[in-house]
Amino acid sequence: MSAPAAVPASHHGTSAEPTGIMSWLTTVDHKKIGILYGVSALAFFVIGGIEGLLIRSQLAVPGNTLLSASTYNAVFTMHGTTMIFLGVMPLSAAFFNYMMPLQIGARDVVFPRLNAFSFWLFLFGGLVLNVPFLLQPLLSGQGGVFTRMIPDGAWVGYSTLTGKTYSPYLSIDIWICGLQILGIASMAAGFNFIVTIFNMRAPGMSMLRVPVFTWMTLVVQFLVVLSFPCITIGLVLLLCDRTFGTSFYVPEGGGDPVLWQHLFWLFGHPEVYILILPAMGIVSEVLPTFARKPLFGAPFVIFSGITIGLLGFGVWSHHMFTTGLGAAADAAFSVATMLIAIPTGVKIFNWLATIYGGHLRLTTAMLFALGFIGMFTMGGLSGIMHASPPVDLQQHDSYFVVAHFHYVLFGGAIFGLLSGAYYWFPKMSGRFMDETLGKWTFALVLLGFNLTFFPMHLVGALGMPRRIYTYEAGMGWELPNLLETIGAFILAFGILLFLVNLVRSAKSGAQAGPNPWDAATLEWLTDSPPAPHNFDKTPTVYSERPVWEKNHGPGPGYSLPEGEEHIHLPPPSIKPFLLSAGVTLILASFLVMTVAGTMVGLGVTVLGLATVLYASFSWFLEPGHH
Amino acid sequence: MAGGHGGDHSGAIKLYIGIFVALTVLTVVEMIPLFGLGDLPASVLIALSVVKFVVVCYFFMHLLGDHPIFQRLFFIPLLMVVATIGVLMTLAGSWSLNYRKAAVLDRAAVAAMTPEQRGEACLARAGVKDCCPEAAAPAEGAAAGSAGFDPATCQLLARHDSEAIAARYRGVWSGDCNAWAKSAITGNEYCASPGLVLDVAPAYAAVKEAASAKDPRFDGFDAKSDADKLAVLMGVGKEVYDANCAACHQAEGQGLAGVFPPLANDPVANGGKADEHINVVLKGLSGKVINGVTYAAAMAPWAQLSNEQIASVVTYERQSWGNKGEAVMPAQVAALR
Amino acid sequence: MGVPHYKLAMWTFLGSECFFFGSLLATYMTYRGKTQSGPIPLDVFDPAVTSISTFDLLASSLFMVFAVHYAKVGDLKKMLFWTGATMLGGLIFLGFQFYEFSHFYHAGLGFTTNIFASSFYILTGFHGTHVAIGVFLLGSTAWAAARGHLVDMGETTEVIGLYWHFVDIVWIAIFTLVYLLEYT
Repeated sequence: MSAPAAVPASHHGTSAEPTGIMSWLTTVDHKKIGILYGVSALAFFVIGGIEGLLIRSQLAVPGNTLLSASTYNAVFTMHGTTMIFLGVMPLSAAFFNYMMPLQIGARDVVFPRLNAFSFWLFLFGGLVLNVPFLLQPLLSGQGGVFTRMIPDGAWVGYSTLTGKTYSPYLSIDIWICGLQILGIASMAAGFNFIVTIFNMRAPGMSMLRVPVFTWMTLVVQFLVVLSFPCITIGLVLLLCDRTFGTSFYVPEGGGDPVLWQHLFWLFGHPEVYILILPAMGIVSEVLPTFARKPLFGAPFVIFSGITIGLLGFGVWSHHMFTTGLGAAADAAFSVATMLIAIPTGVKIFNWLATIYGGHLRLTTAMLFALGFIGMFTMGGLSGIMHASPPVDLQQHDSYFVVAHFHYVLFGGAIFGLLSGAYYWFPKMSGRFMDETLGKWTFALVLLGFNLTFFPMHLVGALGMPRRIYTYEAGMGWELPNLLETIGAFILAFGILLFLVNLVRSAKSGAQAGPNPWDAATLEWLTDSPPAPHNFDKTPTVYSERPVWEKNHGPGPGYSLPEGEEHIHLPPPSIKPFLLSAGVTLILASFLVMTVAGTMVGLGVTVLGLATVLYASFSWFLEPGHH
Repeated sequence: MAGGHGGDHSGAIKLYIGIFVALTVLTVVEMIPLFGLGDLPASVLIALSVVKFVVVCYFFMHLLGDHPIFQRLFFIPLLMVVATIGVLMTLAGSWSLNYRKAAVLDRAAVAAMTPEQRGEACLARAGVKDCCPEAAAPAEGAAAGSAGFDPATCQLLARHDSEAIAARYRGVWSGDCNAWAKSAITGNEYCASPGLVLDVAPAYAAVKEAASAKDPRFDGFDAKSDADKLAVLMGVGKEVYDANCAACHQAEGQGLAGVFPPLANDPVANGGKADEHINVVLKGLSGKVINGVTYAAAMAPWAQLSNEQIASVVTYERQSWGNKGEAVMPAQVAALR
Repeated sequence: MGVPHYKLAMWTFLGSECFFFGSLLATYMTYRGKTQSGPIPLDVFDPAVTSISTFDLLASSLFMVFAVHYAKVGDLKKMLFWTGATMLGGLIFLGFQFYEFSHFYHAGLGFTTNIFASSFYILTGFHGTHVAIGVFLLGSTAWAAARGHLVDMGETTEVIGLYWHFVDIVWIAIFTLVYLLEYT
């Protein structure tokens, strides 16, 4: 496989390949972009993790004064925002980028430069959200809007708290700006992936032969492109309220703060599935591989994924039972929410049936996948409890809810992503991750995770509200909180081990061949790591498990065409970077307007527009990209 | 314009022109009410626009005869959006509203109606929540006066079973949603407890309205003896306190340990400076250390209350639960505004 | 799937745009009739202006299908002519919108005057922005077609045309929900 049979003869006589940092700034290769996503997401994940540890340290004992109330607000807001938008979503995007084109037998995504644009825009959005940590100490002495610069309105940013009256600071403006940038980045990637999956599949790969991970990628991208417009509008209205003095969410002016909640959760609930479905896809790849069986009822897993996605748009108001929607609406949204348990349950039983009677190989990837089933099921069960309005009224805004969504998002999404990391690392680097260290990681993460988040059910039931910066002694909350903090540090140590393992194995892990796990899907047909053009020859697919059937029968699995194949790879381009910089400038100009006056702000807008115009026209005319 | 390009070619052009003529006719029909030439019900207008919409999609955007994936990609999201807008309008109670009805309902006309007429007119315009705050929002904070509609009518019109809501919300959390303030518990959330967010808005407006209307009990107040003045202040003060303050500071002024400061034996209320006390009510307070305890909870400003109401509630707080502060007169409040 | 990449991307994008304008329309419709103070729509609406801009946009849609048609048969001159006509329609629409906004403003309806004003301006303003972007895209397409930069003129024009028609059908919805329903 590794013979350089067909060196991509493309590039149309352009100058030499850029090297060093320029090779990363100009790359349009989905694999390199995937790595860029992965590395930046891990960096943000560490930042978000440190914020989580700060939260736990503050709450370890009653009456703690480690963080002030306002600092605590900033820390938990950024913990949520970072983990969701800059941690889990881009970690999933790393796998979408790297694995999805490989899984469908494509040479790249359909619009490679748009892919690079998405990444750079995501990175700029992440920086906009995090730069305040550096600027705050320098500028807070100036007072005024600079008093608070780190977003501090909670990740849900509820009105009227985020209005000008209660948050007359830059913090919320920066949050709006960062989220708008991230939204555009995600949507651009969404259109790209959807067209890629529909149009770039290898011959013979009908939709039902598409691997489950790629299917979940597809569902997630639809959720992204359909739900992000809602929060875009929500944020635009908030921006108008704050900047121009409209009253969309201001009751005194005839507006309704609940409208924000609707627009936010119309996005926010599909967002939950945007976070969890990729992990479900990964687990659906890992379990069959290490059980050495096909995925039980694969079409059911796929269709339940689609059903979850569709239903996800009809349940947003279950986040709002306590706003007093009325009995009829409560009942309707309650029923719709409970319905989601059906496709989710279908998936869980399919996974269980997959491992039933299989010859399990308990690698670290498999352990995390098994851990996912258990932990996610627990999170799912407490989710069904919230579906009942009377129960939700008790649990709303208590630590019980915090326990619930961490079981889903950590026990679910992160466990799945860790499983995927161990599973696909050999493909991405050509080397195995250390299994001994990996099993220690799994043990520590599992222990630390449960110790951190299980007691939250209890303190939540005892009435501890979420988002409080401290609490009084004598309410029975001390011991669980202390345990949670200890657990958080164990968990953090486990994640640290994972990072150490990642770096060490990338340098000196044992060599892995093209298909080290004896897996079934097309990515295992390529070299590890794959050549820039992925496949020397595009395979024709005859099965939903082509590589497995080729090796083990009964069918032929796939076949390779005769003769040489013309391979066209687009040349590197700096235009995506430029375009994303221009878009960032336009969106950030209203921040400049707030800080430095209208004229300077408009200047930045014009500069951004000029950059966008230049970048898009030269993008259009760039040779080598038809 | 299609000369020389064969029959199929000019056929397509003819089809486009035909479609355009049909769309134009439909649009002209739609415009009948626009120019006052006749009436068309909203349902007909919406049906016409749906037809136009679909015709453009299928003929101008060529969905007809194109790959079916395009229809799915467009119409599934479209139907989801239409359903979502419908649900949001239902939740907001805005199906039956329109601006013309809103215009008819000016204040003078309302004043001339019987309570039943007012209730019906208001219901047609905005739903029961805007007309009958006490029916829709029975929580403690909401009882400070309604827009003036007959309670029996309101009860009749109430879409929510107010008793059921009260039972659901009361006693679940320590405090109800405190109007539009930051959460008193976290200083963060818009409404930290299961508050009646939708329902509090009109109640809040009603409180404002009530505040602007002068309470008849204060008629000839300045001429009264000190004992009579005190009786009025204490009577009104208790009402204002129970409606607005008791949710946090509790009915007997005992507060909630560590979260909301007690007013009984509070250094300001129990003989401290009256001006400081009035200022707290007028301007709010946060991060205060009282009797050695730091309170994180922020108190919202209550400037929407009238001078008489603030004087009453401050007096009530200063002379109840064992506190021994002097009475406060409306003029003192007015001076500090 | 065997369909052109950009066309598939455009239809996906239009599905997403449904949610974009859906959120704006939801905002307008949930606030409909809830303003506490004037001016209300009937105080400012001008049926003549609205009618002309509605017909204008409808006509531009017809010009657009002509442009797509001639782009597909490879008649560059006619494609350029009808693309220009479509752009002219878009510019006239924008001119009427500018007139309408300034007329409303002088009638006392600023962006922040009441909840009707805010939700009206944000909805129609975003629609106008889409029209402006459409004019820009049509201009760029015409320029690229004239200079021979387009690999497939028919497909490119068709994809831009889809966007243009979508902007037109959004106006069908706005015209009915915002304007016509006030007269029922």
